[in-house]
Amino acid sequence: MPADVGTHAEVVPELRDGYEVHQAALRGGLNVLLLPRQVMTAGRDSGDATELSFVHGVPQTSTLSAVTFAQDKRMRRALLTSAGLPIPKGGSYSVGRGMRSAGKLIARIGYPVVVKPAVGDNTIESQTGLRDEQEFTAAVEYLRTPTVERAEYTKAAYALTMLSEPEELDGRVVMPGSYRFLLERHVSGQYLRFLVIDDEVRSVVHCPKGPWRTDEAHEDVTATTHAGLLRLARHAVRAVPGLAIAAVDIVARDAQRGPAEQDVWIVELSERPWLAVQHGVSAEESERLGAEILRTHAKQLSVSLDEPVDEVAVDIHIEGLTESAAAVAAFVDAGRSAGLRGSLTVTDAVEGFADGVLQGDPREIARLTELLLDGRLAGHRGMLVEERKRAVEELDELAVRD
Amino acid sequence: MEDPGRTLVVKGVQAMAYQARAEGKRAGVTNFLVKLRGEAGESPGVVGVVGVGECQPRLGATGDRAGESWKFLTACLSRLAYREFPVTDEAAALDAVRAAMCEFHGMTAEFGGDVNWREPFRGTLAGIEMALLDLLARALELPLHRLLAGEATTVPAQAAPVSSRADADELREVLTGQTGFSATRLQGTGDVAANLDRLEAAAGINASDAVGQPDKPLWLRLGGRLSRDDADALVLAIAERIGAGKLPLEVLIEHPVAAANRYHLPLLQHKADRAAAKSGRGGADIRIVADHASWNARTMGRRAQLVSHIGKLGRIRGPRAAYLRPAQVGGLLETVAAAARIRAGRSGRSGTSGTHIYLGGMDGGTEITAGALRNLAMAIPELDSVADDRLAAAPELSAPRKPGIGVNETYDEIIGDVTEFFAVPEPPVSTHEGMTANAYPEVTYLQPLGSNGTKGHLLEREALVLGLSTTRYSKGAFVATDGDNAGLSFKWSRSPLSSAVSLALCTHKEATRMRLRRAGVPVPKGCTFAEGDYQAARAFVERIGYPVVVKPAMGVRGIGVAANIRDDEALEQAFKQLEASSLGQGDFIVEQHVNGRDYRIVVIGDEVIGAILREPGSVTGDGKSSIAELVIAKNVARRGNPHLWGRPIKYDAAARFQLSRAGRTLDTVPAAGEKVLLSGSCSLSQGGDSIDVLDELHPTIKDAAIRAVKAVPGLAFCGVDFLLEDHAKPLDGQEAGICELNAHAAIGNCEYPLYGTPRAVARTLMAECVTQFGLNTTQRQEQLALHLTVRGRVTAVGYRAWLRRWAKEFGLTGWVRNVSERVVEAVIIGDAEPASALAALAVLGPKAAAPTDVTTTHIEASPLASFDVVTEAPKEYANAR
Repeated sequence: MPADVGTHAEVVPELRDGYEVHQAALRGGLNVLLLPRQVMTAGRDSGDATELSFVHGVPQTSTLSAVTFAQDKRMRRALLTSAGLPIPKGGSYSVGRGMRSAGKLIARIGYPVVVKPAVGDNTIESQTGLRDEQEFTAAVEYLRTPTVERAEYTKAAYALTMLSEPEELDGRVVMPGSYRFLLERHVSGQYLRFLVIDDEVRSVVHCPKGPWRTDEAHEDVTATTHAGLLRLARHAVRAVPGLAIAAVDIVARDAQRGPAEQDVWIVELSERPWLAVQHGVSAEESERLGAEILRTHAKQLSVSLDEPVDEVAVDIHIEGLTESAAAVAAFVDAGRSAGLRGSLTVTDAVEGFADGVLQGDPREIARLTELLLDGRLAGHRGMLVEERKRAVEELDELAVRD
Repeated sequence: MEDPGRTLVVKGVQAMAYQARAEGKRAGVTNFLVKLRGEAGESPGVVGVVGVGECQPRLGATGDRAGESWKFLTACLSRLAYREFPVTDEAAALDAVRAAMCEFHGMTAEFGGDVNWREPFRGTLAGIEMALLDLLARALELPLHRLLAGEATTVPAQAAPVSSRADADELREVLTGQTGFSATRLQGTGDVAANLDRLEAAAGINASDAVGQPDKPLWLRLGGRLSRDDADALVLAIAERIGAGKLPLEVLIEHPVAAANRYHLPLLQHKADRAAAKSGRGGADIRIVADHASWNARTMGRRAQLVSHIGKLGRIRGPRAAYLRPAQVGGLLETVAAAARIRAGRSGRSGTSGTHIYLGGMDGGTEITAGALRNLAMAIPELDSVADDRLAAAPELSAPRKPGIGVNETYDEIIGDVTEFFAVPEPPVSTHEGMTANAYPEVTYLQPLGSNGTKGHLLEREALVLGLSTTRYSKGAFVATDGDNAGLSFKWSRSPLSSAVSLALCTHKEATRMRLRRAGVPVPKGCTFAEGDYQAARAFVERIGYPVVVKPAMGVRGIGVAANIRDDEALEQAFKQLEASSLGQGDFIVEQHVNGRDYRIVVIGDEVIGAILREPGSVTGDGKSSIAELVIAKNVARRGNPHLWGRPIKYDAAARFQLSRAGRTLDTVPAAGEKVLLSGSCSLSQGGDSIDVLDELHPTIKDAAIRAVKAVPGLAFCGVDFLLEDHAKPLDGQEAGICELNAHAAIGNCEYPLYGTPRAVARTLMAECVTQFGLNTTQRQEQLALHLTVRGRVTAVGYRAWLRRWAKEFGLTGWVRNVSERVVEAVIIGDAEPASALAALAVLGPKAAAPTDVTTTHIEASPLASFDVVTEAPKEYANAR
């Protein structure tokens, strides 16, 4: 369970994608149903809104097998290689017995190298620029730390079940020897993040220190990136059949030159969009792309969207609240601070139901409900939130109603 | 037996092949349990005696052959059935055993025991002999060692070797507790320096005040891990260290080199003797411990024979310690004789001390072999000691007093590992309400894919028979394509039909419950609570009423689950149990307990295409067989099921609990038709039964299952877990609830039910994928001609020979060849089932291989005469691609 970060909490990177699509849906006049682990359905129907569905902002059109393939870096390498696309030399090894083979590969490809977990969420926990054996072994040692203790670790709701559990070794609990990591040659150049939605590149961001470092501003370079690189990113996504959306990281010497003129490598491919990177360019940019994801999916499934608005009103229904009264009080407190109006009432203390009306900035409604479902709203948590569009009217500031 | 009579008739024979275990883990070898039931010839029908034996066939080491040994055994046992044996006295009984064994030796040629294969089936024959000797000794009411005319009353035993992984503290702790044993045994490694360090460390501990045995011999068990050069280096270094006083005077080195290098052992002993003599310490003695093959000219191999012959001229003697294992020697009686021969032939020659003789069993034996060894040890004059891990508890073995080998059938050890069951009269048949268990011939092709191999392969088989090409990346993952449209990816049962969102929802219990409840589908009422929030949980129980279930929100394997809670006291108990469990640190769920049977209903699109009832592991009595025999028969039937072959009924804590609750043991013979439960879980992995019920499923239940699946966006293939009182009755009017939706449900459970009609789940799923994604397919093909391109570490690892072996085993023709250092190509022609299974198997390869992917395409070709390794692709096939 994430730490209690209070009622003014910001959206953390792993919630960013779901949040952006959620707020876009509210702004576009859709009804929204939110379930744990960022499962969101949205639509205009009068019953449960289920025409559109997303998990972590990934639309329903990304197939189960495709996201599973994308989460396995060994497979991803094989698929990209089969498609004739450039990837750095590398291989996947187990943290136990695989170390000897990994050493042999390093002897062939030389330092510096990159180490990252072989299975699971992409673009996280990448340890790059490892210059010698000491740094390499320290990187692998980090991956032996149980995942629950690793600060950067995230796990998608559709991830494969981890069959091997941590085990005890020399008196400490570590990931088992069969846990695998990807080892690749570290390639140098401009680190570019491409966001591909429905076979079109919608954003290219230059991340000087890589996407996982936000201490230096990211720069949007969509307009100036060479068409050949855009094509390469689209081909990379096509290599994993069934992905409706993907983030592709390409390292090239110069973003304005084509792949034929320089060495380029595809170093990451994620089925999650990871809009936190575009958020590093600007809040508006990640918001724009969240809306783009929603709009593309809605168009495919013939669901119409209203012109986006900055103030909405919804009937809200919450289920599965822990300590309902305190949770509602915390939600209202946070909502008031965010300028929301309306009221919220505990309607069933035993099963944790609350109902009411929220009106205000859809970004704030989305933020607070996303945090509530993730257990980040002053430690409180709900299991279901339903937001149904209603007409905007004159309301008092948000309050608890008995 | 009170009156054994003058003859004993073998009224029943049984044999079971089982996967042997060593230190609790599967040892990768198969043993056979032999059981002979005899009745006194003069008093038919009286309670008889049972003799047991254990065969340890180990290919080259015992002259056995995989597959052939089992056939040979069953043929021998068929002859033993209803045979009469004299039990007037020991001599007559022994003569009869020898005569029977002589007859069986004579049968070996029929089973491939030709002249190039000396003394075949020794491991198998030893087990038959053991059972016969046990049977007759019990009939004579004598311990086996008395039947063998053993005179010893006690024999020294060696301790089990200390693991090479034990650290310094563990080594010290173990050795300090072994002061009563005559030697210190150590497990060695393939590293000479590490072995020397280990020997020195052990010698240091033995010389310390805590142990006080500086002269205690050291015994290094190497299991053939050293090369010849390393073995030479080791003995020289040991001699040097003996000379330096770092090691005791006597060091034994067991099996230093692999069997193929056995010829080197006399030379190594010679070097050891010379080095010991030069060490500067009088009495220094380095002995090479070798198995019986070094003393048996017929089985030692030509090179060893030559060295032995030349060695005699050069006064090079053989190893000076023999490690005799009855399975290798060929029987208990032969082991006694072999020991006598070694003693007579070697002892005292040229002024050296006599050959030591040790006795032991192959790795992976049960208590039966241990019992036989304990008796045999008393019958080998001047045996130095027994060195067997199962007989290593005390430094001395005393002569057993119980009749025979003193051990009964070891069913409890092998019940979950049995693969074959042979019996005269016929073994019991597994039935469910009059139905016999299904047999699926294709299991032969699916078992080599290993655990989970079936579920990773079925969809690819369907893709290939529809003319699609595939690229397989692992046992579970492949992409199918028609060459024109985008490919379809599959991993296990994660298909392109379902969305990522649907799985995310289904794997969250509370989210699933909320979604289904809102869709009007029957779900047990329930609620999730924060860790420790029992007050809220109590209020919820008050609302929904008993009975309830308490379980962790993100539970696995039933940990912390308490079902059918009927009152406040039990509820409080369940909270305590949850808190104490490993999953007590998190949210928990309280939900209504549904009294129902456990069903899995498979939905594809808008249709229910399979439904099985899952029942806890059980057996049904036939009035003749014991529970153990019934379980084994059922497990053998499960071995014939592609989905269940790796999921036997186990004799675990749950089974023991169920049996003891019913006042039963494994030996109990249940009445005909009586059902005996062996598990409380309906999980097929825990030995549960799967019974097809699709045709009887009530339409209202089908409708609810379809509505449940439709309630989850993007879910097109699903296993609905439904609790129902009666699947044939309407949903209204019975207690019922959907407890789980499986978005990545196993395909095999409805495809291969244990009882009832199999349903084509994989075929339907692939057909739906093909339709939905508009792929171009052919008519279903019963015969396939496939071209495989295998990439990765696939050359210089025995890949081609491996593929040829399996192709032949599967009855396929074609060829295989190396294309480049990292690419092998093959053509496979034959029936669709074996051909597609071999295409899936190709991604595994032999042990040293590491294929990255296998691309399988179709070619025009007719069956060939054989499957060959070739250097160039035959022209006609090169053109056909």
